[in-house]
Amino acid sequence: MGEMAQLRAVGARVVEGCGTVVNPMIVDGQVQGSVAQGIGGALLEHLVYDERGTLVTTSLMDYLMPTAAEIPPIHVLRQESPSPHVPGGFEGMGERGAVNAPVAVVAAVNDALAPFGVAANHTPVTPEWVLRALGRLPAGHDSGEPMAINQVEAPLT
Amino acid sequence: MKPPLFDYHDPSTVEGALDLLAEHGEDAKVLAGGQSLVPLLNFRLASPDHLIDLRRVPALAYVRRRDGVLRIGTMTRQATLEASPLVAEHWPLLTAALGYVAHAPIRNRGTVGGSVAHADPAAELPMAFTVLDATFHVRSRNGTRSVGWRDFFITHLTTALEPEELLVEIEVPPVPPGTGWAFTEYARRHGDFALGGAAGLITLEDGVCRRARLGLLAAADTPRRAETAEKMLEGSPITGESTADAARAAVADINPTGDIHGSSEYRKQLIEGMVRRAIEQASERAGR
Repeated sequence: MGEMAQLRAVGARVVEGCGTVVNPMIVDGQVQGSVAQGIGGALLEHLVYDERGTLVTTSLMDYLMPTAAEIPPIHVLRQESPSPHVPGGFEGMGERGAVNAPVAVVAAVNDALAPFGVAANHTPVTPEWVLRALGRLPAGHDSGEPMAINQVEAPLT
Repeated sequence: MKPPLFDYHDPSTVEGALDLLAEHGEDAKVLAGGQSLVPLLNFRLASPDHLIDLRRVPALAYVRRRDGVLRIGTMTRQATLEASPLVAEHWPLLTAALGYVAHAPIRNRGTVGGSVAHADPAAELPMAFTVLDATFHVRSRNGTRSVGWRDFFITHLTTALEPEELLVEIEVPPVPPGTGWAFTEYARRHGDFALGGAAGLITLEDGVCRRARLGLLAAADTPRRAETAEKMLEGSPITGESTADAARAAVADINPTGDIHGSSEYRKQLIEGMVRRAIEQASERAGR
């Protein structure tokens, strides 16, 4: 045995729908920041409570925010479509990475797991969870919270 | 948070530090780099009445090699040791281990002796020194003594140092010719405490393993050597099968503490994988 697993975001390509772009550098920075949040949420960040309901991840040593080392280069494309409803065509932007990146990351994990007939529908997905889902560690757990292992019949694409 | 009140001392000589330790030993902590102690103070997990800061004791910061033996002064900054060409040439395992110690700014302040005296079983330096068969030199006003790695680390954050004693030097014997090294660990974020890790030194002679040293990181209450596994490797060529057998034996009697970052069984399995990787890498380097 001694099998190991590692989950790492190695690249991201993002298309952000924006209204009129005033400063492209700020737009790209906003997108990259929100995608970084999303990757953190998908792979690392976890609020863990003990059996009495006390939060135990109360420091940044225990609550794992991603650092620059965990975030891959994020390639941003801007889909500029000025809003017809407001003067100047401006729209809010930059929040979607936090919402969509976890979906994209977990979908990528599930794609990798598809040949084994298992899938995750939670975040964060951890190496320990992957080993359990693949049957390389006994089922059951004593870290964090229980996370369902979903049996899937066909690869999710 | 802010630390509890303490009296601050900054002696400029080893003798001055030893006098202060003789006077306040039980109620004092030695501040060597502060990368573990200061957070402990700020979280109020430690509340010594006296802090004895060694930063003004230049006599304790040195890296020397004489008769093939490495001698490291306790106040040598981790970054200094990491950048030492002498260490990189003769003890590359140590250089590699230092690369895993937290982050560069922490290594700029953190000291070699501070990490050893703190004795965290998940810390890289204490484990690297056990694999390198190091001896720790200790002084007090009553004299000096030398403690081997086997007797130095007692349990979690506890060493053989008496309250009035100061760790002054770490002695590392030469590594035999034909030795390959490896240091490997896994943390979910770069620079975090490892969930598990391993180090290895493999000496090959005509393809046969003559000497093996294996260390386990974050596996027990002290940095740990896998001596049963070492003996299994010695006397035979390293094969895929012997590597897997040794890795299995290395973790057979460990029971790492599980927490929110990883269960005990996960950590044990991780360490087994790390040992396997360490044996593979070290024997590959030895064969070059």
